[in-house]
Amino acid sequence: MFVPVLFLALTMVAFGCTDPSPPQTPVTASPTETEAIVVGDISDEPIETISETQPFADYLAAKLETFEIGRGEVKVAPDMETMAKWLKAGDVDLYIDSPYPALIVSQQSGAKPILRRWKDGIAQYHTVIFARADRGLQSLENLKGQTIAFEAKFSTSAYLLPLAYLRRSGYRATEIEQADAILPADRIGYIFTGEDENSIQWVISGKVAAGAVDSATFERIPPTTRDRFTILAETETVPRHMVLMTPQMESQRQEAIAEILVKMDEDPQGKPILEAFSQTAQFDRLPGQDPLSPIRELYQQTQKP
Amino acid sequence: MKRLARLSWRRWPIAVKLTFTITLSVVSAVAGVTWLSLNREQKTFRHSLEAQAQSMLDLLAALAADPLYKLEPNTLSGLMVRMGEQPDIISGSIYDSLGQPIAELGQVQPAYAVQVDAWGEQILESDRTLWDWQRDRLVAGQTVKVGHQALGAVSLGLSTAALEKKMAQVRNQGLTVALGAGVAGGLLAWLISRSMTERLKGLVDATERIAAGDVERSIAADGNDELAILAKGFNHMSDRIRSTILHLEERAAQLQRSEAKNQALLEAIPDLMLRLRQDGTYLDVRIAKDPTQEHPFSPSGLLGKNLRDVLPDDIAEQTLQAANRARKTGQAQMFEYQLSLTKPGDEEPRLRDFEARLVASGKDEVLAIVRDITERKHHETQIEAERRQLEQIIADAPVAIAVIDRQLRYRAHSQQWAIDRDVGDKSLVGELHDDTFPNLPKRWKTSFQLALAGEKVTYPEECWTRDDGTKQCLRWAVYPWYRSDGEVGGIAIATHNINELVQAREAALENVRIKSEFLANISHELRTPMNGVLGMSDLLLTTSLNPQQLEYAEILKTSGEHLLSLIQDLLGFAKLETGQIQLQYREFDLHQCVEKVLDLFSFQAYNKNVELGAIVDVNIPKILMGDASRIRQILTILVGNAIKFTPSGSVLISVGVDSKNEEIDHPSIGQNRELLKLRFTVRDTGIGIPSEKQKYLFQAFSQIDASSTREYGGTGLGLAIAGRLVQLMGGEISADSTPEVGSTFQFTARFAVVSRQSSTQKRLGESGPLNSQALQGLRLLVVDDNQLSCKVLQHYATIWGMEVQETTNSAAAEKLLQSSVSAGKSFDVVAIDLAHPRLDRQILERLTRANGKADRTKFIAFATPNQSYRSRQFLEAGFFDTVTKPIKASRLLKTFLKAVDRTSQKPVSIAPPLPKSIQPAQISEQQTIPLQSRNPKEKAKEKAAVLVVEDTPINQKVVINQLKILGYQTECANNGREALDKLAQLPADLVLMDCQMPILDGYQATRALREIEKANGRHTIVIALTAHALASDRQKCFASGMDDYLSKPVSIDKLGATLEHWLNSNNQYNDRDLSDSPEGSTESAQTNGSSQENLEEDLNAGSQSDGDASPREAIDWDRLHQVSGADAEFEIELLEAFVESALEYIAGMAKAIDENDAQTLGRLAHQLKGASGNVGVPSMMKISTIINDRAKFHRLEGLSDYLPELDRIQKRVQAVIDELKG
Repeated sequence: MFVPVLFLALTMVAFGCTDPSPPQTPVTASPTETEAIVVGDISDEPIETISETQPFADYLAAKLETFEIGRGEVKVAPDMETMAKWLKAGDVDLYIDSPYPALIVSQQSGAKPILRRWKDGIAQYHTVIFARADRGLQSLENLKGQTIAFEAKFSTSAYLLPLAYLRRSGYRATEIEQADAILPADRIGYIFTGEDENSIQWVISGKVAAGAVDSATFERIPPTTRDRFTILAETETVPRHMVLMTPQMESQRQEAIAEILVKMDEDPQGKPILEAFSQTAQFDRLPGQDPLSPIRELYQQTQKP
Repeated sequence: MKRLARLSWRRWPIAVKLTFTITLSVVSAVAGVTWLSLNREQKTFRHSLEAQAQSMLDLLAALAADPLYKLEPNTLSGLMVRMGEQPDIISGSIYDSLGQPIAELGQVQPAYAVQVDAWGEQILESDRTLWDWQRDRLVAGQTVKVGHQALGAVSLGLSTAALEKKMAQVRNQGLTVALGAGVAGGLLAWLISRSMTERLKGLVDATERIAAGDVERSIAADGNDELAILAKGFNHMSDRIRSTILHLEERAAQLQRSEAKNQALLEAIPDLMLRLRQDGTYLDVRIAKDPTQEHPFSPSGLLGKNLRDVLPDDIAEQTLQAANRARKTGQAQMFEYQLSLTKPGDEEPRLRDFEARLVASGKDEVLAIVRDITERKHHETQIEAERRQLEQIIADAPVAIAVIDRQLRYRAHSQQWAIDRDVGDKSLVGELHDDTFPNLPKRWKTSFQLALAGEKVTYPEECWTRDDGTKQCLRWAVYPWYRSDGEVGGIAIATHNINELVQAREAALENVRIKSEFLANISHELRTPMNGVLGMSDLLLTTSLNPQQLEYAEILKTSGEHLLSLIQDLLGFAKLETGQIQLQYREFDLHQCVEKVLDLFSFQAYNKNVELGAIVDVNIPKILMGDASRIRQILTILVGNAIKFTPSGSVLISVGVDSKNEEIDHPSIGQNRELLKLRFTVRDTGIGIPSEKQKYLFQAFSQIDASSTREYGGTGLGLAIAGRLVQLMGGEISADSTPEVGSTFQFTARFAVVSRQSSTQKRLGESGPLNSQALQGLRLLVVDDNQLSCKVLQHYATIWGMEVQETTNSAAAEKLLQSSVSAGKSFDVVAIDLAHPRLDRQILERLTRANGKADRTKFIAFATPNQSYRSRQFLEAGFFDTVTKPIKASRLLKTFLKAVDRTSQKPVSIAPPLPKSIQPAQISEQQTIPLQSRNPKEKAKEKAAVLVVEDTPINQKVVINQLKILGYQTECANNGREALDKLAQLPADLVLMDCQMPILDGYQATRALREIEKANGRHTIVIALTAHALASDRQKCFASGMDDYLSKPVSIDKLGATLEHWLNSNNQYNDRDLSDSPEGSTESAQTNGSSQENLEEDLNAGSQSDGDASPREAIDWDRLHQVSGADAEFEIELLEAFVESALEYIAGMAKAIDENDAQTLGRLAHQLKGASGNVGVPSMMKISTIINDRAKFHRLEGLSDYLPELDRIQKRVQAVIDELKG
C-alpha cells in the first residue's frame, strides 16, 4: 500500500498534479447480507489483498451455486485474534495462511485445517539461516552475541521455524528492538525486519550478522549474491499454506468446497485464477488427523525461554 | 615554383585581396557566432539538466530516506521502477551506506549486490552532489542523510539526447548562414574594391609626379570618404612640401647672416681662442686683443703645429687630457697653468697665470679659450693672506669669539671658544653650529636670527644646564658682520664665561638666605619657651607675693614680653628677607581693616592716656582688592610705635587717595583693573625723632639709640618690616618728625577697585542698611575736651550731613542745650565723653534737665574700654547708648542712625540682672562687666547656638554660665562622640571644644566633623577650649581642623570677644593666615607651660603662706567674678559643684596613686586642673598641674604627698561656701 501512495505523491510532485483527494481505505469489498462465501485473510494492505483474492472468492461462489451462494466475498482481518473471532462466529468461511498463523487461529477458533495450498507453486518449504561469507561466520555457534533477522512474529518460515530450530539446538535467543543492541556473549538476538527481502538486505548491508528466510525466497536471490553467503542452517520442512474452514460450516459444504479447490487446478477456468492468486499451483488434502501437530510442537519450542 | 610565385599574396591585385579578405571575415564571423551560440546553448542546457537532475535527486533522496533507514529493498526497488517511468531518466541506483546497490532503475527485484559500487562509494564520500557528464547522459548522485548519519546514496542518469538534437539544429543553421553570408560578402567586397582601386590609381600617378619634382599639380578629391580624405591629404601634403622648400631657402639666407654676426662676436672676445685637433694640432688660432692679456703666440706661428711643439710638456699633456675629456664627456673642461714669459725689455722671464677652457667642437676637435688671469690671481692671493691673518687674530684672541656665516657654519673661532665648549684643540671651522651644539637654548637661535637680520643682541647673563648636568653661565653678544656688497655675511658671537662670578654671587645670596632662615628657625624655637616664661610669669603674679617678689616677677614678665616681641619681629623680618611672605589679594573692607587696628590698640592707648582715632577719606570705595592683613600689620607697627613713643597726647590714622592709576593687568589682581593708590598716615604727638636719626628708621636693628630700647622696648625691626612690606606692595614709606612735637609716618599702597558696584555705592554710609541719608540736617552736640575725638566726630558727622557743635566743658554744653531748646532747635543727638574728668552724675542730670522736654534728643556716651560700669550707670540714667572709644565710624553711624530712628524705642537691656548681692555701686571700674549692647548685632547672639563640648561638670557650668551672660544659646555635650551626635541632629553656629575627653577627644571629634562637612559643604566654627597652652598644642588644634584656640581658664571678656569675632565676621575665617601669624589666633599663647621645678617651688611657697591665711584667699575672686558674671548665687553654686567634683577627683587620684595607674591619675588631675582653674582656685590648679604632668611621665613617686594639700584646699573652699551662705 505504501508504494502506490508514494508513487502518487511522486507523480504529483513531478508533474504538477493538483488533485489532493486521499484514497479511501475500504475494509470489505461488499456487504454480506446475502448468502456468500467469505474468504478471510490477515493483512495490513487490505485493498491489495482483496484485489488479489476476490477472483478466487468469486470462483468459489460460482462453484457453490448449489448451496445458494450467490457471491464471493473477501474479508481482511488486521490480526490473528480477529480472524479467529470471525471464523469462530462464522463470519469468515475460509481462511488460508501459513502453518504458524493457521495454528494460532485454529487454536482460538476451533477451525480445522483441511487443505494444503501450493502457494508460489510449492507445496512445502523450510527456512534457510544464512550470513555473508566475508563476515567470518561458519556456524550457528558463531552467532552468539550477534543478531539474526526474522521477518515478523506471525511468520512461519522467518520466525517460528528458525526460532524453534535455534532453541532446539540449544541456543538462547532473545528478541531485540535495535539491530545494534549489545548482547550477552551467550545469547543470539533476533530482530523483525518486516519482510524477507529486508532481512536479506540487512545481512548484505551488515546491519545484522545473519538472516532467516524461507527456502523459496533464498532461491530468488541472484546467484552471484547467493554465492557470497554462507548457509549456517536449514530447518525442517512444513506445508507452505493451509486452508482452515469455519467450524460453523456444515461438513457437507466443507467437503464441497474442498472438492472444488482440489480440482481447481484441473479446471481451465480455475487454473488462471489460481495462478493469479499468488501463483498457487494447486490445493491438495493434508495428510493425517492433525496436520498442525508438528507446527504445534515447533510453537511449543518457541515458547521456551 | 613559378606557378606558386604567381599565387603569392603580394602579387594579388588589391581588389582580389579586398574581396577575399572581406568574404573570409564574413564567413569567420558567422562561424564564430554559430560556435558561440552552440557553446551558450550547451551551457544553458547543461545548467538546466543539472537543475532538473538535482530536483529529481532531492525528491528521490527524500522518498528513499525512510526505506533506506529501514533497509527495505522492495520499497526502494518500487521507487526506482517509478523513477524509470520518467522519460529523461535512463539510469539510476540506490546504494546502502556501504555503497552497495540495493535497487537499480528498471529492476523490480532488489539488486542484492554484495559488492561495493565505485560510483556509490564516491557519492558517499562527498558532501555535495556529484556530477558525471557522460557521452549520452548526465549522471548525478548525492548522499542520503538523516542528521549526520549517511543512510546511503541515490544516483540518477538523465539523457542528453535532447541536447544533441538541439546542438545539431544550431550547427546546421550556422553553416547555412555562413555560406550565404560568404557569397553575399564576396560580391559586395568585389564591388567596393573596384570603386576604390580606380581612385587609388589616380593617387599613385600623382605620387609619381611629385617624385619627379612636379609639386604644382593637384588631384581630384570628390566626396567625403576615406579616399577623398586621402586625396585631400595628398594635396595638402604637396602644398606643405612646396611651402617647406620656400622656408628652407629663407632659413639658409638667415644662417648666412647669423654666421657673419657670430664671427664679429668672436672677434670681440679678449681671450686667446684655439681649435685643436685630437692629436693636438692647431686648426685655428685667434689672438686676444686685450692689452692686459699676454700670449706669447702668433696665429701664423701656431697653425698646423702641434701643441707639444709649442707648450711645455706637462702643460701640453694636461691640455690634451682635458681635450680628450671634453670630447668624451661633452662637458667643458677647465684648468689653470703658469707660463714663464719674457717680453721685449724684460730682464727676467715673468710667470703668468692662464686659465684654459676646452669644449668639444666637432667629432675630433676641441675649442680652447685661454685667458691670462695673472692679475686676478694676484688679487686672490692678497685676499687669502688677509683672511688668514684675520683668522689668526681671532684664533689667538683671549676671549671666546666665533665667526659664523649665514648658514651658521663656522668660519673662524678663537681657541678660547673651543676651550669654553669643551671641544679641546679640535677646529670647528667648516662645521655647522647646530651640529656642534645641538641643545642650545631657543633664545640663542632666536638671537642668531635677529643678528642675521642686522640687529646686535647682547645678554649680560644667561645660565642653563648642559647635557652633562653642569650649569653654564655666560655673558654674550651676537653681532652681524657684512660682506663687501653690504649684505649680512653672518654673525660674530662673543661669550664670556661668568660661571665663577655667578657662583660667587649665588653663594653670597645663599649665605644671606641661610642666615635669614636660621634666624627664622631660631626665632621660632626661642618663642616656644618664651611662651612658657611669660605664662608662668603671669601665674606667678597671681600668687601671693611680697613686694620684692612682686617686683622681680613683674620685671621678669616685662623682660619676657620684650624678648618675645623681639623674637616675633625677628621672625617676621626673617620671613620677609627670605621671601617667604606672599601677598594675598582679596576683597576687603578698608574701614573694617582700620577699625581693627583701633580695636587692637584701644586698651594700650587708654592705659597710656593716648587718644586714638582714625579718619578714612569717604571718597575711597569701601571694598577694595588687596592684602588686608599686610596693611593691618603695617598699621599695627606704625600705630604701636606711635603709642609707644607718645607719653600722652594723640595718635591719628588717616587714609586718603594719593592718585589713581591706569588700568593694569596683574596676575594676582586680575585683568583690566582700575588701580587706586592710597596714602596711609599715622600721626602722633610723641617725643619725635631727631632728623639725623631719621635716615636709619627703616633699616633693620636700628632703634634710634640703645637708651630707647631700654625705655620703650622693641626690637628696632618693626619699621624695617613695615618698609619691606610696603616695598612688597609696590608702595613707598617715609617719616617726618620733629623732636618733642611728634612724628608722621606715611606709606602708600596700591589697590584694585572692585568693579562689581560703583565706588560711590560702596562708600561708608551710602549703601545698604546703613544709609546716612537719615542723618541729613540733624543737629549734633559734642561734649568732649579731646581734640582728636572731636575732629574724628566732626569729620564723619559733617560727611553724613549733620550740623555739629562742639564744646569742651559741661557748663558750656548746658548753656547750649538750654539755648537750643529755647530757640526751638533742640539737638537731635548729644555725644558726651565719659572720660571728661569732671563729668559726674550730677552734671549729667543737669544736662538732661537743660534739655528740658526735648524728648527727641538722644544722649550718647563715649566710654573708654574700662568704663563698662559707668556706661551702665549712664544707660540707667537715660542715655540712649554708649560708644566705646576709640571712635569707629561704622559703630558711630549705627548708633546715630538708631538714635534718630523715630520708630525705635530706647534699647532695652537684654543683660541678665545684676546679682542682688552685688549692687552696681559696689562694682569697681576695673571689674569687667559685659555691657549688653542693644544693636542688631548683639541681638543676633540670642540666635547664635553654641555647643559646649566638655567632660568636666564644673567646667561645663562655668562656660555655660559665661555664654548665658553673653547672651548665647547653649547646648552641652560630654565628649566628642556626643557632640557629633548632637551636631548631626541640630547644627550649631559655633563649638567650644575641650581637647582631652574620654570616648572621643576634641582633636578626633573635630577631624570627624570636618570629614562630615566635606560632604555637606558646611563649616562649623570650632574653638579649642583647653588647659593645654603650648604653641605645639595650638598647632595640634589647628591641624585637627579647629579654627581658633582659647586656653582655660578663659575670661568672659576674652570668650565674648572671640565669639563675637567668629560669629560676626565669618569671612574672617577665610582671611586668616595661620602660617603667617603667631597672632593668627585671637589669643596669643599665654602659656602656663613652665617647668616642673618652678611650679613645685611656687607650690611650696604657696602652701607655706597659705597656712595661716584666710579661707577666702584660696579663691581668686576676680576670676570667680569673671566666670560668674558677679552673680553671687551662681558663684556659690559653682563652688559647691567644684567641691563636689574635687572630692571625687581627689579620691580617684588617691586610688590611682595606690594602684600605680598613671593614666587614670593623669586624666583626673587634668579634670581637677581645669575645674579649679575655671572657678578660680589657683593653688589646687597648680597641684593638679604638677600631678598631671608627672603622671604623663609615669613619675608617681611622692605624688601622694600632694593629696593632703588638695584636701586642705578643698576644705578651705568649703569654708568659703559656708561663709557665703551665711
